Formats: sequence, C-alpha cells, structure tokens
Amino acid sequence: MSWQTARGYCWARAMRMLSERSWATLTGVLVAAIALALPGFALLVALTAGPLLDRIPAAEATAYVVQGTATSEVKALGGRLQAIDGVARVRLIPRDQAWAEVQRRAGDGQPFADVKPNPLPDAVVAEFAPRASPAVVSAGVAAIRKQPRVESVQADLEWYTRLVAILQVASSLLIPIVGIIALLVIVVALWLVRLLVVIERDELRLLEQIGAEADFIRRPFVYAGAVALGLAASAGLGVLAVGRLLANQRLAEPGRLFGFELTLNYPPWPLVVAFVAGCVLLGAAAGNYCASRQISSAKPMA
Amino acid sequence: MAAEISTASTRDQPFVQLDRASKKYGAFRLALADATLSIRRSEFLLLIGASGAGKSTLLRLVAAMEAPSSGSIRIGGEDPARMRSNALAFLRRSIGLVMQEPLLLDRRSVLENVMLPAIASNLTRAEAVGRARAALGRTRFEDVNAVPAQLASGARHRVALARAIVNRPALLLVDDPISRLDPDSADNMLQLLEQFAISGVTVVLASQREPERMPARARLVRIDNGVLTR
Repeated sequence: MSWQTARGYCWARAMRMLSERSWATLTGVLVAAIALALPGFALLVALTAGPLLDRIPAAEATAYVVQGTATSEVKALGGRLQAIDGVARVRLIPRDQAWAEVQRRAGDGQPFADVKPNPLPDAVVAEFAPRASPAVVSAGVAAIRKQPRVESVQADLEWYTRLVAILQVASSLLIPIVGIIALLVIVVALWLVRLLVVIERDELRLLEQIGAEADFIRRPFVYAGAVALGLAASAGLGVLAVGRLLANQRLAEPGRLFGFELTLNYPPWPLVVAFVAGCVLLGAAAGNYCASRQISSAKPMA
Repeated sequence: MAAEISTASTRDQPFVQLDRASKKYGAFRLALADATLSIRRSEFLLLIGASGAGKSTLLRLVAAMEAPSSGSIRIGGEDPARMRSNALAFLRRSIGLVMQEPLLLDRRSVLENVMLPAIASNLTRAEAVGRARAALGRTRFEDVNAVPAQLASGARHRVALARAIVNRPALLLVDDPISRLDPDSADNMLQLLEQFAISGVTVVLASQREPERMPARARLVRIDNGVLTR
C-alpha cells in the first residue's frame, strides 16, 4: 500500500529525529515529564479534597428553650426554625435526653448525683445548609433569637466565617493556578518539541524540490511531537506515582489527627488515558506548529 | 514515459515559456533580466554561461523553486506563481532538478536518496525500489548501498540525476554537471541526457563551457550577466 509506504517513511523520519540526539531526547522527556506531573498532582489533590469538603461541618445554632415550655410548643418552635432562610434541618434535644447524656459523659455520674431536678432546658439545633454564606447564617441566628420561647442562642460563627473565607480564597486562586499550570504545560510541550523535532534545512529544501506535499513534509514533525509528548506523559505518570507514594506517607499522620483517612488516590484509568491522549494531541499540534515555522523559514517560493 | 503536466489542447504551445522574466535578489542584484525563452517538448536546450551569469537562477525559476520578480513563466501552460501548494507540489514532481551542488542526504544510502521522490509521490515501497534501481541503472551507478558523503563529485551528480528521473519527469533541469567531469565522463553524461530528450523528456542543461562534442539535438542558448543571447 503506497499510503503505508509514505506513512512508514514519515514514522521512520520521526523516529530518526528523536534518536539522532538520544541524550537531548531523554533529558527533554524527563523535564517535560516533571512539568506534566504538576497538573496531574494538582488533579490528585483536587480529587482527594473534593470528598473532604463535603465532610466540613455545616454551621449550627442551638436555641435553648425557656424552662417549663410544653413539648408541643418546643415542636412548634422547631417547625418555625426549619422555615428560616438557610436552615437545612432541625433536631430537637429534649432536656431529659440532654441530662442523660451529660451524666453518661461524666462516667460514674457522681458529680451530678445530688443535682436535682434536671437543670437543663430543651434545645432545638438548627443546622444550616452546607457552605451557606456567613451573612445568611448570621441573619438566621438573629431570626432564631427573635423566636418566642427562646431563652438564648449559642452559635460560634467565628470559625465558620474564617473557614468560608479560606475556601473562597482557595477557590479564587484555583483558576489562576490552573491557568498558570496549563500555560506551563503548553510552554514545556512547545519547548520539548522544538528541541527535538528538528529537520535539516537541506532535507526541507530537498523535499520542496522533489514536490513533496505539505502533509508529507509535516507528518514526521507531527509524529515526533506526538511520540515525544506521549513518552513525557507516560514518564509523568511515573513521577506522579512516586510523588503520591511519598505524599501519602506524610499525610497519614495528619489524617489520623483529624479522624479520617487522608490519602491521595490515583486518578481513575479513563482520566489517565485521557491525560496521555491529550498530551499526544498537544505534541502533535506542537509538531505541526514547529513544521510550519521551519517550512516558512526555508522560503520555498521566494 | 514522461509524466503529463498539460492537456492535449496545449500540446502545440511551448512547453516552457519565459516572458520577460526577471529575478532580483535584494535591491540591486539583478540575476536575470527580461528573459524571454520558449522551450518545446522533448527539446534539448543547452544553456551556456560563465559562473554567476544567471544559469542557476533561470533553472530555479523554471523548476518553480522561486518566483520571478517581474514577468512570467509558464510550464505546460500553467503559471507556477498562481498555483495552490498541492498543485505546485504536483508540478514539481513532474520536474527533475539536479542542482550544481547536488542536494543529497548524506546519512542515507544512495538507494534511499533516489527512492525519496517516488515515496513522496505515494508509490509503494516495492515500486519505489524498482524505479530507483532502474534510474540508477540508467545513470550507470551500481553501489546502491553507498553513502553519498563517500562519493566523488561526478558520482554524486549521477545519483542526483537518478533521483531527478525516478518519477519519470516531463522536464529535466540539470545544472552544470559536466564542468568538473573529465571529457569522457562529460560525453557520457551528454549522451545520457540526449537519450532522455529522444524519449520525450524536455531537457535543459546549464553549463559553463560548450561541450567538446555538441549533441545533435541540442539547441544552444547563451546567457551573460542575466541576459539571454542566441
């Protein structure tokens, strides 16, 4: 098949480009692998942080009910709190249940043995929607305070405001960081392909002279770019695996402190395949760009 | 058999037509001035001129490797300057060009060098090898596995000539292959080029000096300081 012959020639030419300077190829591929591992590592962190964000406790406000309030009125208060903007759910803690819990936590119950009757009020806990804005939570707490039969409200908004501020800063930095990493990857890809995908000027002139079509001239550049970045992506996955191993050793202890398993998981294989395929395409595009530059610098029809 | 690059209706027209074609490099260097020339099909044109007279420039223009600064060139009735890139590539595949300094890929074998235009023309590998061996046979070059860097000037020209004819061109442009050859080798080269002309290929041969034995079919055109004279 003539199609195969031309393609075969282009593949052979591409492989020759990469193998003629094997040290440059090896160095370039390794540098690009490290650069490509960066977005991969960011992805691992994002994949791990996503489920952790769901575990961040939502803001809560506890309304203590005036002593002697009938159970039906406490229930009615719960219904009113549920209707307040931003409140996701409400749970009632009857004073007897709370008192039993206090005694259980005290161990043998000795410190509270002489305390009678139960001094605790009924309580209604309003849980706000996850990541509700501090303004909504603050307004909700104010609305709870105004409810009849509410003696006092306990809500630690300070930590919640700080947490939301930290998350906002992190999310606002995310886009520039992703942009910078993407730019870095593109620059490294172009640098690698320009470094490796070089054809002798004489050969370009000759190909023009013998009437080789533009596709035939470009194809070795495209193939070499795709192979170079495909190799870099594969090596990048290796770098990522090593980085993950080292990071997980360091993350184990803080994870235990916070009470959950903190480990970076390897991305799912369709994502890995998509990453390599994306790099191959980027390499091909970079090869095509380099070919255009080199062909135009050869000035065939001046 | 020569490749077709024109229709039957243009068969009676000159195959190559230069109409007041000039080529200027930079602001001042006029390499070719108002050249008007017609070359018929199957003609053997000998272009004689001293070094720097404009022979190579004229060949590059006719090979569609460069465009004239003014005037026009038509090959097979077509103006290369107005062609799309794929049509231009097709035209170039119908032209065999041997430069004064043959452009050979020194890291590849002679056979690979000669096969290259055939592969670029989408021939199968077997066809390309067959054609390359046949072309090398016609130019009487045997060591197909040699590397061009090891070859002498005359041998390099023969390899370049084999590469130029591997696609069976309609037009063969050869830039000064005989100046550095001994009289016998130069004579052999001229005979070979004359055979191409007899078999229907239009041949333009540029040379610094008139050959000792003028080929019978040859039409002689002189060029001096970029100006064509008869």
